[in-house]
Formats: sequence, structure tokens, C-alpha cells
Amino acid sequence: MLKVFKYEFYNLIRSPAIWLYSLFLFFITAGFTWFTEDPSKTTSAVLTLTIFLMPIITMTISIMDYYNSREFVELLLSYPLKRGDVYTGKFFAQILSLVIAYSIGYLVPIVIKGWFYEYTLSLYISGIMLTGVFVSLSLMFGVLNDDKVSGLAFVVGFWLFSTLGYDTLVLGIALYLRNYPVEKIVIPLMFLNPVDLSRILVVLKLDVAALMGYTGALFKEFLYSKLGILMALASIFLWIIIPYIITLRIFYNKDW
Amino acid sequence: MILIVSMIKVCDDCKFKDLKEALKLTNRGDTVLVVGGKYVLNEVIIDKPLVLLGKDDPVIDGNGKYEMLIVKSDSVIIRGFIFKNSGFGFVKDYSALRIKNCTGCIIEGNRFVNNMWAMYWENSERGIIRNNYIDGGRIKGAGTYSGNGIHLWHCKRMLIENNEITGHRDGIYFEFVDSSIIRNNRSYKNARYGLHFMYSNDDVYYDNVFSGNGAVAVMYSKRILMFRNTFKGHWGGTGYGILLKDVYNGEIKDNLFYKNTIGLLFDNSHNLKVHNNVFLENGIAIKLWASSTKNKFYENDFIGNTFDITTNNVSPDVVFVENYYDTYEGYDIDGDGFGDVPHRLVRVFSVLTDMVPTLYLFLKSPLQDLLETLEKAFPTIIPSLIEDKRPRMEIINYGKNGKFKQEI
Amino acid sequence: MVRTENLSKRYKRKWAIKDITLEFKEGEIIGIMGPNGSGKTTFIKSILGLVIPTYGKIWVNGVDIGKSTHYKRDIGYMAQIPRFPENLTPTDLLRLVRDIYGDGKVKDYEYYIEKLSLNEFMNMPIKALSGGTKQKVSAFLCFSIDAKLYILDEPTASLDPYTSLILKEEILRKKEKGATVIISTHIIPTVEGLVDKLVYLLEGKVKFFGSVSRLKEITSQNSLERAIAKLNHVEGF
Repeated sequence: MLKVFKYEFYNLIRSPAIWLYSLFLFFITAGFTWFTEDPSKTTSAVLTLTIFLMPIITMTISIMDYYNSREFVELLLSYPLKRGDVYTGKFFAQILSLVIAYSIGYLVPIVIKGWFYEYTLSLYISGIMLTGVFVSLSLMFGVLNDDKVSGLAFVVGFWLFSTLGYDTLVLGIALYLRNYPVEKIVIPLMFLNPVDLSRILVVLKLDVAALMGYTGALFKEFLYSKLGILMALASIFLWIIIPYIITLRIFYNKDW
Repeated sequence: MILIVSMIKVCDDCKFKDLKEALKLTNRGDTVLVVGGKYVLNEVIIDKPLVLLGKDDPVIDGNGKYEMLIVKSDSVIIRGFIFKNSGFGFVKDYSALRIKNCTGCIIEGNRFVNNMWAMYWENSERGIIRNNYIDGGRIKGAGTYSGNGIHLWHCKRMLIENNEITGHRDGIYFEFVDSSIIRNNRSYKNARYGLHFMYSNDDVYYDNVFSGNGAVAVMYSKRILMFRNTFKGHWGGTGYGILLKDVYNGEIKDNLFYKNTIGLLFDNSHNLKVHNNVFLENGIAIKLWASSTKNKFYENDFIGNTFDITTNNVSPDVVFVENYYDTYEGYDIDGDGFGDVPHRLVRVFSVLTDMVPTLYLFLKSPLQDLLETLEKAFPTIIPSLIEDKRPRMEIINYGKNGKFKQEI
Repeated sequence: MVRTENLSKRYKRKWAIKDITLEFKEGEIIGIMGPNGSGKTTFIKSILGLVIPTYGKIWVNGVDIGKSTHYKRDIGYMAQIPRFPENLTPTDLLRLVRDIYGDGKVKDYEYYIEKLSLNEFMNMPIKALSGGTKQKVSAFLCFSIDAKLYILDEPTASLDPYTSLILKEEILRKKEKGATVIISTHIIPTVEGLVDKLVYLLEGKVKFFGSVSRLKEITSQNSLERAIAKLNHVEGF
């Protein structure tokens, strides 16, 4: 596994796509940093962009890397390596290189400014968790679809669903059931979507959290309880591990 | 008539070593000079006009058990003492200093530390409370169990100025207090309200700074004039710059509302003029409940608030006009300083959150952005609840002649 | 060295290969031929474990390949379209192969760098290399492995005639060392004068398996080209 990981990582970390992504994040973060001079506002603005754009960017980089390396995967599989090791090596290589790109792009301006706050850190952690989730998912979409176009369609579809569609649905439910204590439905539903979960994780640390009033307090109380942390981690973990296992199974039985 | 005024000196080396004993020997109009020392008092009553002067910080101590001093006379002046450690209980209200039925009492230049109530005034008038430093101290965080800093009940024509109040339940509390002035005070980090009006009319407060309290609450009161105050950092689930409940005919002008969860809350309040205020970086600048009518908002600045106005429904006689909004995206072709298209005050997301507060969980989500983009792109589809027909193009108050900026 | 029994693979409804039973001995060079879509690549990939048979069995070196990936330590594979990670260099790829097989198994690489004139390209990223050079890198990686079985899928597709000749020499060198070489191709000159035995696949089935001379004999043709052309049209051998 480590051998595959090492060379997949060498390849990815030298790829222009990764560095463009990093540069993009850097300019956004640095831009807001310089313009607002306010760590809370910067975090808030970067959060909005991260939550919306990071899924599609990481998923596209991940799935395109998979499609471009299918023949190489084939070559690796002709070597005395276990199929699972080839996939797992790629999986971690993608996560690590995307996390490095993210870390440099986001953290460098933050560190230069010395903005070490709970919310800047929360955003960093949320970004890492989302990277894991989206790499796991996009590799699954890739392995499920031999056709690039349909693989990308899945990526775009899932992106729109997780960032907008799901929330629209929950919004609809909440409005429909507005005469009931909807927070009992909406809060668990927020735990199910990693994009919502990681966004709220950051928002709760920002000043605007006060606007959330009762619901926010309820969410905060739950999220920062032992059970809440466990459930949040479990949710993110399942979003990573379930696609990973599915992909692994397909990968094992796939013809190359 | 010749007044014979004598002065009694109390100190460790004096003839009078015990303040309580000394007070017994005084006549009307005497002056008691207390130099240093610590005096444990338990409900000691002053029943004639006296001047109590403290020198070298004499301490009046309640040992955590007693209400210390009770004034039951007109024209008592108390100056230069440290009142500390009153009793603290859930059944009885202990106040370091209680003043009953007094006309013309002056309490100034004292320090009140670690008391349940610092001052409790009843049925008094024309009193002055000035230059006192009041710190609830040990009850910080004890929330509503503690008492208030300056508590007035059934008083009138009072002047409260230059005091600093912190660590109490309410910094200044008015109940049935009329025609009084509150000015130049600093009331901060009190557990509930920095200033609290109940059933009080014709009062004015100005040039005060309120920060980090739960809110300033004006309730069931009429004709209150509020100007040149700063309300900042009232942040939290129930943080308000000013919470108005059942208030009639007041005026709110030239104030700064900075970084409050909600700058101004209107709950069943009517006929107020709100003008020339600055609403800067609040969560919600103004929250209006439909039950509030005939209020007029003009020449205010709205800058950097997450939401300028939120409301469930607006009474048609509520008017917003000629305010400045940093979110206004219109234009001014005729160059008269006012935007040529009306400014939509309430955004669709805040309408939804007003209907279902749980939807605040979508704060900063792509969905919120999408809703706002749709609203801008198709203004005709989403009806506007309330508009400012003449929004200003330029900031009106903030930073003009250095105004407000020094408060931040 | 390689034995298959009823090896069959079905994709959706169509059988890519059906009931292939063959045996290749040590030191043999085998050409796998047949028109496009006849099942050449499926057959080769089955041996490599890249394609999982619908049914049938494969033994390499006496080991049932369904059981473990360990048998691949004795295989060198040269893929049809070499697409390596764009940002790695041939040196990186060599390191990878050495990491996987161990230094003891990858010894002759310097010889092949020289032989295939790859010296100047060794530290250039793959994306900077031409198609022919990439195929040379592919051959270089394959031959650098000290294997008992070499499987080459269309090895000469984008090689110049000179390099093709070198490749042929090297295949013969491997044979001399006792290795088995399987070459899949539809280019006749690639196998001409090189292979000991020929497998001719048609629509997933073995149409012919035997020596080149036997093929010429039974088709009564002098040239391999004509012999093969005849195979396509004649029933039952």
C-alpha cells in the first residue's frame, strides 16, 4: 500500500491541478485577509466559498486523476500487489495531496496574520474532513462509471445535491412542518449532510451564531456534548468509509 | 435663625471609634467625618439630615450577612465610603445602602463592592447619584440571583450621572420612576440589563455607554428620550442593544449600536422616532414585530449588519425613509443624494427565518446565497415587505466630525 | 509454464473468450494473433489477473492464480497503451518497480537503458515524452524485471523499425535464459521468425494452436500472412 501511495503521491503533488487549487485558496483567503483585516469576517467569507466550491474542485481533481491513471492502475495490478493496496494507496495519496494543497492555500495567510482562533481552526478541520469525504465519493463515482462523462455527471450531481438540493429539501420540510418543533427534525438532518455539518461547525464558532438563537443553542449544546461530537465524527467517518468500502469491493471484482 | 453645626470625627485614634455610636449622638445637620477604618453595620438607621464624609477610604462592611445602612430622612449626603459585603439571600433583599422617603439625598464618590444590591431607593425624589463605582463582584455570573446596582422604585426627578456599574443583575433599574435623568454612566457586563425601565415615564438617558450586558430594556414606559448612547457587544442568544416592550412615544437618536445580536427590538411599541443612529455590524440591526405601529425610522446608517431589518409582518404605518444602507445597490442618476429605486429592507432569507427560526441553521449556506441572488435577479417575483423609497447614497452620521468612531 | 483450462470470460451477453484450454512450456515464445475483438487482450489480461474469468482456471508456474497475487513476481508485463502518471519520470517508475519487486529481481535496468537509448529521458516527466519513447519506457520496465514469463501486448505498435528489431533480439535473449514470452499482436512481422508457437483466436475461440511451420503446412501456404488469411475463412482445423 505504502509503495503505491508514495508514487501516486509524488505524481499528484507535482500536478498543476493541485497547485492551481492551492493557489486559488491562497488568493481567496489572502484576499479576504487583506481586505477585511478582520479574522471573523475572513473566516465567514472563506467559509461560504469553501463550502460551495471545495466539493466540486476536489471531486473533479480526484475523479480526473482516477480516469487519467486507469492504465497505470492496470499496470500496477499486473505487478505483485493486492488490488486493495493499489486502491487504498491512491485513496490516501489523493487525500494527502489535496489536504496539503488546502493547508498551504488556507493556512499560509492565516499563519502570516497569526489568526489562531477557534473558528479559523474549525474551518481548517472542516475543510480536511470534507476533503476526505469528497475524495472517497468521487473515487466511488469513478470506479462505478467507466465513462468519464457519466462519472463527471455524478460528481456535478452530487455537488449540487449536497450544497443546494439537500438544503432546499430540508427547507421545504421545515416550512411545511413549521407548526411543529421542527428543530427536532432539522438538527438530525443537518448531521446527515457533511457539507451542512462542517458549515455549522464553523458558524457556531463565529459571532453570527448568536443569530441562531434557541436552535443554535440547542445545536451547540448537542454538538459539543460527548454524544454530539461522537455523532458528528461518526457521520463524517461513515461518509468516508462507506464509499471507500463500496469502491474497494467494486475495485476487487472489476475487470481492467 | 442660627444653625449650630458640629462635626464629629470618627477614627481608630479618635474619641469616637465606633461609627454606629457616633451616629446616635449627632444632631440634625451635623457632619460626621470618618477617617479610615472598618465599620461593620447591621441596619443602622439615619433618621435626620446629616453629612457623612469618608476620608482615607473607610469601609462599611456587612460581613456578608447584613443590610448595612438605611436612610430614612431628607437631605442626607454620603460621600467617600466603601460599602462592601452586604448580606446575600434568596428570601430577603439585602442592600448595602437603602434610602427611603428621602428628598434631596446625595450619594456620591463611593465604592460599592460585593453587595447584593448596592443602592436601593424607595419613594424618593430629587436625589443625586454621582461618581460612584459599583461592582457586584462575587455575584458575577450568578445571573438573576443577584440584585441590581442602582435600584429606584417609585422615585422622581432623580439625577444619575458619572457612575460605573458592573457585575450586578441590572446596572440601573427604574420602576415607577418619572422625570429623571441618567447621563454619562458606564454600565457593563451586568448579568441581565445594563439599564432597565419598568413603568417609568418622561425620563431621559444620554451619553451613557452600555456594553456586554444582556441588553438595555425599556418596558411599559412612555415618553422616554434616548440619545447619544453607545450600545455595544450585547451578544448572545438574547442580546439586544435596546429591547423595547410596550413603549409609547419615545425618541431614539444619535445612538451607536455596535456588534449587538439585535440592535433594536420593537415588541408592541408605538409612536417612536428613531433617527440619526448608527447601526454597525450587528447581527440584526432592527427587529420589528408586527404589533408595533406608527414608528418612524429616518436618517440612520446601516453598515455591516448581517441583516438590517427582520420582521414577520410590518404594520403599514411604520415608515423607513432616507436612511443609508451599505447594502443598497441602486443608483442616483438625478444626483440629489437619494437612490432612484427603493431599497428592499427585508431579505427573503430573514422572512423565512422569522417564520421558522430553526432555518437560521442555513446561515452562510450556499442556499442562503442562492436565495439572495434570486431575490436580486428577480425582484418582482419575491414581494417586498417594506421599502425605503428614498435611500441615501452616502453615510449620514457615522464618522462625520469623528462621531461614533471613538466609541468602538 | 502457463496452463489454462476452459478459460472463459463473458462481458454482458457476449463471450470475449470461450473455453480456452492451452499450455505454454518454459522457454517458448508464443504469438497470440487474431483480428480485433477476437479476445487477445482478454486472454492476456486473464493471465495477469486483470480480468476475472467467468469460469475456467489458469495456472502459472503450477500455481492457481485465483489464490494469490504472488505469482506475478515472476511476470513482466508490457501494456498496449503505456500511460504512466504524467508527472513521474522513468527513474521514478524504475524505483517503483524496484520497490515492488525488490532490488534482487530488477537487475538489468542499466543494460536496457543503454540498449533502448533512454539515457537522456530518464529524468524527464512522462508528459514530456513522445509516444514511441513512452513505449520504450514500457519495454524497459518490463524487461528490467528478471521474470520467468513476459507478456507483451502489441509491443511494436508505435516503435520505429530499429527499436522493433532490438526488441526482438531482447525477446530471444530472454528465451535463451529460459523464460516464456507471450506476445499478442496483429502485426505479422512482429512474430515472423520469432515465435515458436502461434495461437490464433477467432471470436473468442482457439482457431489454431501449434508451430508456424505446422500452420503453413495445414493451410498449404508459404507465407505466414497468407496462412493466417486462410485461417479466417476455413472451418475446422
